[in-house]
Amino acid sequence: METIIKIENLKKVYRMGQEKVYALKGIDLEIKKGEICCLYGTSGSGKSTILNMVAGLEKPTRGSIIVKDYHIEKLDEKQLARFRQKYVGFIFQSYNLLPNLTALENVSMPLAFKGYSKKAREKAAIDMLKAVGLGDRLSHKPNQMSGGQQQRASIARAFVVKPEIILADEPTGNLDTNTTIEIMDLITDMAKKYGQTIMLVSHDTEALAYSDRIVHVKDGLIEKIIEDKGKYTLKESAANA
Amino acid sequence: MKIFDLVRMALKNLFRSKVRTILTVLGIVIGTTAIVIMLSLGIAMNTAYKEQMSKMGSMNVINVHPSYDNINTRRGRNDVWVEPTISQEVLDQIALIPNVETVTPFYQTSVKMQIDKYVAYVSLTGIKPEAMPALEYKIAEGRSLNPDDKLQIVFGYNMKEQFYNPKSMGRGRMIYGPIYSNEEKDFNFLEDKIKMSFDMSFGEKLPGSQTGRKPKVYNVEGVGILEEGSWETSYQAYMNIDELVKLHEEYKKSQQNQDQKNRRKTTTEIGYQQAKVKVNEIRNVLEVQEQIRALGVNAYSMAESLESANKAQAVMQGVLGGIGAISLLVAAIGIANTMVMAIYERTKEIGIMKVIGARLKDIKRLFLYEASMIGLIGGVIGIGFSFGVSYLLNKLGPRLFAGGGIGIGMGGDAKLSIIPVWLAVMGMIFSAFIGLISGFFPARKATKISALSAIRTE
Ligand SMILES: Nc1ncnc2c1ncn2[C@@H]1O[C@H](COP(=O)(O)OP(=O)(O)O)[C@@H](O)[C@H]1O
Ligand SMILES: [Mg+2]
Repeated sequence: METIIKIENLKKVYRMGQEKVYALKGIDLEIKKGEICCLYGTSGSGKSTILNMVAGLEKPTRGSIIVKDYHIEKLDEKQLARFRQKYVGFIFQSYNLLPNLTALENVSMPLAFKGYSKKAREKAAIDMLKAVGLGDRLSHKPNQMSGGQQQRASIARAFVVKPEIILADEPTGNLDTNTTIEIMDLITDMAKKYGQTIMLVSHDTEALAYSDRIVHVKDGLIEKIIEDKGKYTLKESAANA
Repeated sequence: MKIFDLVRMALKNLFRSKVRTILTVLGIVIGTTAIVIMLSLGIAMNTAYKEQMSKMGSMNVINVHPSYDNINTRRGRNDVWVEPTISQEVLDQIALIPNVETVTPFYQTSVKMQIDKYVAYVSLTGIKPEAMPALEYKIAEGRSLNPDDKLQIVFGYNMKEQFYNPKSMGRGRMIYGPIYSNEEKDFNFLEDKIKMSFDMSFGEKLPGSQTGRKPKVYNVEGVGILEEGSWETSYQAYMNIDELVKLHEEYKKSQQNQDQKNRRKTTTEIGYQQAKVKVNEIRNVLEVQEQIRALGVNAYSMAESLESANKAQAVMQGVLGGIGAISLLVAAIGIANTMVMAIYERTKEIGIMKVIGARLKDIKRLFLYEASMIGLIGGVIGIGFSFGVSYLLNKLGPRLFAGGGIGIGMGGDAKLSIIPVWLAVMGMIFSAFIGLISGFFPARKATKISALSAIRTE
């Protein structure tokens, strides 16, 4: 299997006045195409920082991130925007739908940025919203939907452009257990269907069962990597945590 | 992203914060209106100026009139009103002023004329025949006066209007003249016999007119009709000045004989009611005019009245232009402020858009379009508003500015404000452009917003 994301000796230091916060202290990680990789760890361990740097939203202090053939740390803002548009779909913990747009408009948005006609993007967006089970919520605004529904819409938005990489930062963090399982099913099924690679951040144990590999992060370092898929079942993971 | 989508998105965003948008647009409306109205005044002035040039005759001619200031010293011995005139002596002095080309006296009389069954009170002016071309009396029909003409007459373009048929009118109305008549009059100045008299009772029976005495009647000949144009010449008839003076003196003498018991003494010296002075070049007109005034007579010229009109115009344009420029500047700052506020408000949104695939140029354009749209909407409303203001100015202006510099020498139909299509279009484009410029800095700022700010939750 070919490597799609390669992280080498990634370090990140935040300066807060005189104080230095060592968020990442040297991460090495390779992610294969089609893999579902979960970054697991306590709050403040550095998971989000890794994910943001893969998306090029933050510059590393040291080290390199190679996604496909791009050295992310060397791209400028313009190139990063283009890179994200082409390869990356993002799912947030707090959904981050645009509040004044309907579900349909929100999901259409990435296609609009790609220059699709209104007709083409609405067709694709409707298909995607149906696929996530929101076929009857097209013209609902975010505040007219439940958390689970909003997250489905945001998943539809991430998947609608069929990106090669999906980055999901605690997508189930605000959801109850049942909804978490629904959402994880949805994400992993879609990713499997389109052969997409998923980098997932979670400290929900339910999410672990869906991952091919679980990367335990602690204090800015990789503590251990659990390779074996199927080692975690839902019950076991609950017990493990 | 497609431009159409960006425009729609920009409009949607503007609509979201209506009050702020309306207030910002208002600034642009005021600025655009002030500037467009300012320019419309200038354009109207220019148009009127050109019309004046064609209607008022030559720009390098000074009209000289007797002064009414020293009226008391010119009273006759028995306190009889003597109309002030310009003496030959003054005319000779004017002729000596540098840059003066010609001095043409006018001898004005009122006569009664009769053609066929029609009569008219005619203001008959004596003029030197050779001066007519120099003063740009243009002939439409027939010919101008020749130096050896005596009882030949050139008529102004609208003279025919003055003639009326006394028999076809009620008696009372005849006292009030001039009486304009639309009746089809089948006579021709150049072909028909024309009779003329200094006696106003000639040709018709007027209530209270002297009876018994037959007025002296001259047979005159129409030789030409002037072109349409100046109001000054349209209702005049012209005749060789020497002949007219001679005839008028004769008439006055006969009147004197009749009124012998009054012992009224008329001045033997001949005076003129008007003179036209032609100056070699327009730029010398004002100077010559000053010197003429120093001789104790009134002098006015188109050049002077246009200058004062232009001065008043320039002041008004300057004020409006200043208001316009300042309010547009303030409005532009308003747009920039609105956009910066919008960016602060939408920081998270901008971040999200960046993460989900917006290009930098999309973000930049979105804000540029929003800003230009404010400008454009303000411009369109401003132009609409300007048309309203312009209409009101044209309707109320002549009354507002009566007596002021503006409108001097203008015809009644002259407009104070004209907004041509190009000005309207330019106004809209310009205000959209102002918006675009105002949006430039905020738009750049928007592109610099970190996408990360969207992801960091609380
Ligand atoms: N912008 C920042 N400035 C300062 N410190 C930061 C910043 N972002 C993250 N950190 C710190 O870096 C560490 C890792 O953060 P993060 O990657 O968000 O953790 P996680 O997602 O695993 O909860 C934390 O200690 C956090 O306080
Ligand atoms: Mg995090």
